[in-house]
Amino acid sequence: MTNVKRILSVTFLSVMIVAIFGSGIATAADEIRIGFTPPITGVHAAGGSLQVKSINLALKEINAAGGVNGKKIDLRIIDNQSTNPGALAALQKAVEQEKVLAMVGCLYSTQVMATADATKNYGIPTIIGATNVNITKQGNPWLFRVRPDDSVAAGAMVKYIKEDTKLTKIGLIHDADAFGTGGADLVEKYAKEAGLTVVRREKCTTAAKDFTAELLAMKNAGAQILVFYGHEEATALLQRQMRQIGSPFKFLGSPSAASKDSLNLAKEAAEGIWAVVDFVPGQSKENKSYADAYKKEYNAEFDSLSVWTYDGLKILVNAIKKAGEDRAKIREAILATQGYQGAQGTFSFTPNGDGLSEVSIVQIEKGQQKLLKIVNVGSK
Amino acid sequence: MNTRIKSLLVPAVLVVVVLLLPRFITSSYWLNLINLAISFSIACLGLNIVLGYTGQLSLAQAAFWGVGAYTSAILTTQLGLPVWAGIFAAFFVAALCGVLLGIPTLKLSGHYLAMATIGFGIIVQLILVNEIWLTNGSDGITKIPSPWIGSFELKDPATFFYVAAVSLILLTWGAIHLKNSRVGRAFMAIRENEMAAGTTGVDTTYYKIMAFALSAGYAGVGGWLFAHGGSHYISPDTFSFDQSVILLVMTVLGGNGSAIGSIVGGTLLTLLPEVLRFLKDSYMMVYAAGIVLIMIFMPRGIAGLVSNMPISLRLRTWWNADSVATLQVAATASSRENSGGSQKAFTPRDCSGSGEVLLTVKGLAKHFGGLKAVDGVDMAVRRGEIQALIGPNGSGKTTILNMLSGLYVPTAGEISLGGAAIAGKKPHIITSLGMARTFQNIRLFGELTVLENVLIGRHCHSRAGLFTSILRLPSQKAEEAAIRAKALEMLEFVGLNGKEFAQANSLPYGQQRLLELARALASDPQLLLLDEPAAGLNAAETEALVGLLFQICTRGVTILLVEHDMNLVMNVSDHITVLNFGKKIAEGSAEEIEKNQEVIDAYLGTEVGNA
Amino acid sequence: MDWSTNLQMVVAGLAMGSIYALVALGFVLIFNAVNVVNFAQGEFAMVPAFVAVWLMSYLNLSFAMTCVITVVFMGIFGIVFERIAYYPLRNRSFLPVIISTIGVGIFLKNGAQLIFGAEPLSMPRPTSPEALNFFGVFVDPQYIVIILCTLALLGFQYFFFEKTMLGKKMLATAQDKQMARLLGIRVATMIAVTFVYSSILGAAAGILVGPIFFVTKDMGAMIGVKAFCSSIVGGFGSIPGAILGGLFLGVIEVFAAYYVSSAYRDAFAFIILILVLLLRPQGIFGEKIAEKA
Repeated sequence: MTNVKRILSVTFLSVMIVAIFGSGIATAADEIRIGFTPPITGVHAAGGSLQVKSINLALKEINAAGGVNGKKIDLRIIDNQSTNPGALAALQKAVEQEKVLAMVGCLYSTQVMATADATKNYGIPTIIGATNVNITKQGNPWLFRVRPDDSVAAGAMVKYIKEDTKLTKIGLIHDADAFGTGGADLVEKYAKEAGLTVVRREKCTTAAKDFTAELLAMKNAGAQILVFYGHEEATALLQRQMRQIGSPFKFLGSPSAASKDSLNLAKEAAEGIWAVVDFVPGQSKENKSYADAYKKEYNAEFDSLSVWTYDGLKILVNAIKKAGEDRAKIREAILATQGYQGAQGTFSFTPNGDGLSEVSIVQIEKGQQKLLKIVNVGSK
Repeated sequence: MNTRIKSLLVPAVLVVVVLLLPRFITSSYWLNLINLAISFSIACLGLNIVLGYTGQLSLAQAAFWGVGAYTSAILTTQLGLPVWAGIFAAFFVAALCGVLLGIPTLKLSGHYLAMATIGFGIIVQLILVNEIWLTNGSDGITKIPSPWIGSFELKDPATFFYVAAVSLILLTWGAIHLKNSRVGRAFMAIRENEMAAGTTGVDTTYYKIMAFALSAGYAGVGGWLFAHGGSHYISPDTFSFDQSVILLVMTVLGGNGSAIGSIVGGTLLTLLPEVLRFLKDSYMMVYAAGIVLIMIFMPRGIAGLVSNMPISLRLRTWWNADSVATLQVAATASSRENSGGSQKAFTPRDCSGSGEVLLTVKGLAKHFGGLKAVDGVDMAVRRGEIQALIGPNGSGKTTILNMLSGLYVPTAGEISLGGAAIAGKKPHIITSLGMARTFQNIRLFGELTVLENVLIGRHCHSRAGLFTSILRLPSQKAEEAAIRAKALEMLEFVGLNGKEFAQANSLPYGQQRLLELARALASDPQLLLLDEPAAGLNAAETEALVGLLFQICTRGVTILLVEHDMNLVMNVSDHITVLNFGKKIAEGSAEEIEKNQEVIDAYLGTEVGNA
Repeated sequence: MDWSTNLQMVVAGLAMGSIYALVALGFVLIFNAVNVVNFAQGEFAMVPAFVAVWLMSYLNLSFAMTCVITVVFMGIFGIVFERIAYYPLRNRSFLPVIISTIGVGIFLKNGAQLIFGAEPLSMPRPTSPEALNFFGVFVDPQYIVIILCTLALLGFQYFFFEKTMLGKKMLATAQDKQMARLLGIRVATMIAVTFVYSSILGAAAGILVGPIFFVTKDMGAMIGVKAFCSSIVGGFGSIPGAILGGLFLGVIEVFAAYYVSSAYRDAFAFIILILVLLLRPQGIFGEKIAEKA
């Protein structure tokens, strides 16, 4: 027993030593270092591994094509541990120890906000996938968003309700998290501007199971269409339970409503619902070639929520090609990117750093997304 | 090496380490991680107070950590409160939340508490997410200011490290002082045996709530460091149940009950992400398995492992050498004094058989549902006497003792001790009014030392509070010395001198009984309740006990005894009360009881006949 | 509000409350037997739900077959759980045991994610997805199944403890282990059987709730804490208390979500818990029990 204890203690000590001194770094002059901070451990780890797959696809294509101005791209992947402090530590490690030139950052809004200050202080161009509207509106010139932000989706939803469905009474249910609340705030705001009324608004938690109370509240308030801003599981539950009280209104969901997971869960209850999506798989030639390359490399269908890392790295590398290894010039080059055809759509950066301002409205038919219309509302 | 140099050694090393660390570690990546580790460690120190010292499980430590972070962030960003004032706001608001949660739940057993803390954590997160006007909802609070000294902003990780390090050192210092103080001993008494803590004079509810509030306050300060350092941004998702579990793992891995252990655990698990990366999404799973394995195989964590290694044993002996010697000297001095005929062990009282009634019981009853365990008993105990309470099994003797000492609330009846009505009062109040007791199945504070057990017995005659204890004010030191002297006298009196530093549950059975007696006597009782003190003792030990009882009595303590050993009862009792089926059937002197036909019929008949 | 809305909510509340009641029952049985609150009780419903989905979706077994295998699996699971989380710590205070059940609970949750993925799974329904319409009140047939199954299990429970030898031995063990041992009852076995029975109750809850809600690693956590609240609200240690408490809480929650705030839905159970602890610690339906000195 004493031996076991001694071995344990020695192990602990050596683990500490490895942790502190094991992160030595060597720099090579013929490479350009770019940092990427996905969640490798923690609650978002599953999504993180998909982001890594997607970005590695871009990396492989870039380096196979000869890299940038004769230099290969060296991508340093650092775990953000799915937490805010972890995201900050990952960024600091990338910049100070790995000496990266530019960053591909985080997908989750809170992690982007937790690192926003440091990004600004370092003055390092950072590609992000978070969709919270405020992120690019806080005077931080170093963040570049390569997904449509929530105002685009919300604007498109309201526009579609007003112009295409001609319904006027909206019931709004949303997840209480940053994504759901932010989206619902915008829907309510744009609806008011468009002369539509939100007859009732309810919040729920991500883990909510029973929506009877919320649905009855919508029904009794006279809603004609239910807009839901939230995640897959709740979307599917809501669709099922809506059907069980006799579908008293139409349903228009946030992108999660058309995701594979949600459709698998909701099954027949999803038939005929509308949803807004970033893009419809296979809608463009760039998207098709991404899908093919992904299939060839990993023998699997790609994941819609990870494509941004692929587009993001390519946009970043294109900017470095034009601007050279100077962070301020890279920033300008990214902002100058207009009409770039990516796997997610056509990128044209606004001065705030928003790259994508188009989304699609789809209807679910036989468990598949059917494109109804591509809406470009411009970033507000 | 003399004590003075030793006492300066630790502070000197700390100052050097703190000053030099940012010179050697210049990367803000590492410094920020160290600052984060300090924030976690402080939250763990807090958890250690409530879990390690007091033995209450809290699963809301991350929520209190969040309350602290949010309190200070809101006050400084929205109301312009100075950042330094935020630290106190964080401490007090978090502590207040601890009190509010503790009041309804701590009166009940630990299971309720653990679950209620989960609920509290969920509610805190719901509030952080939903009360957007106050907390800015899920978006979180950005641009939280750094502390300033004059016109110098402590913003970069190296300067903020000094703030964090000083906080950690002060709070650790406080936690260690607390452990060896009146308040800390009260905490540990609750952990070891809540019922005995109550009858030894500790207000268990009050101290549990205090431990809880203090623990929450520590977490609040940790939260303050988190909010004003690092990313200067906080959002609700950080303060989750999972985070509470991680804090729990840090604390138990480091060593439950050890302040230094909490820091080791907190630091280790914060600085190891590199090594833990192989865990990928099984992160929490490995943590969880870790909890179970630690509980089963190393319940005292790393601190337990390290402190059992030969080198640390040697180190500790060297460290404690002086203080142990001092204590030994004090002990021998007090024993010499005693053997010299002085009777200082008890405050002498006039007890020359004045016939004055000390304890009066009228119509006392306790019903459990339909069962009338005690049904209308009247009795009186005269000052200076030894009175026995006897009766067959199930006649209600222990139930009466439990009502006298406040463990049971009587269904009906009055109890008065020296004129004060005590029926239904809390055990610690009754103890402070001059009643102490022992238990049939010994209830010691098993993991504590013999000396600490007796020190806790002095609880109701000392007054050092939380802050005096943490700061070790002169008044507290003087009081500690007095308590110690008294405790050593008590140990001497029952014959346990030389065993002061043995762990209580390592004593043989007979000595455990003596220790319980010493603990009870330490509270200077007027009335001592003994529940079967001779149970399990051999003939020699019983004889020694008889001698001890007479000595106690001659020194002015009245004794009420429940006992099955009839020889002993008949030997020592001035007066005997006999119970059967919850009712008094007889009372009188030993001779009268021996002759009483009803008693013989009910109970004594066979035994006396055999004798 | 109109009666159909209220009635609709009562139905939904009773269905949810039945699930709380089943899990609460598991809590109470284990508490009575070994005086320990099993914090992994919610996971006792999560694990069988995953097992059942896997059996039905990947092995294409029939619903009946799935139920049988899941119950057997959970029986074994109960024994393994007892051996790991309780048995090694049986002679220590309640605190290490609680911590270890919490540890096992988190382990199971994250283990489920590792094996079955993070995405929620849907369990095939044994009943029609179309709601029945009773004069304007829509009732999911699965709700009726849940409520009926809960009633049937309660009937069985009564029969088991009152009329069978095994049940009586378990009761004896719960009341006084020393005495039970003297009477020749194998206490360790009875405790293991209690864990088995409790995890089989979990299996029932998991299989019943799986088809209406999705199967996720977190499904047990909230059910677990709310079931615990139910058992305290009803009167801790009391079997009828656990059931009434569960139904009460289920209904209260839906009404509070409708009339007060749906955002704070998960808080109501705890607010009621705290109120009950303050005003009536023995529970709404419970009797006061004295602690042993």
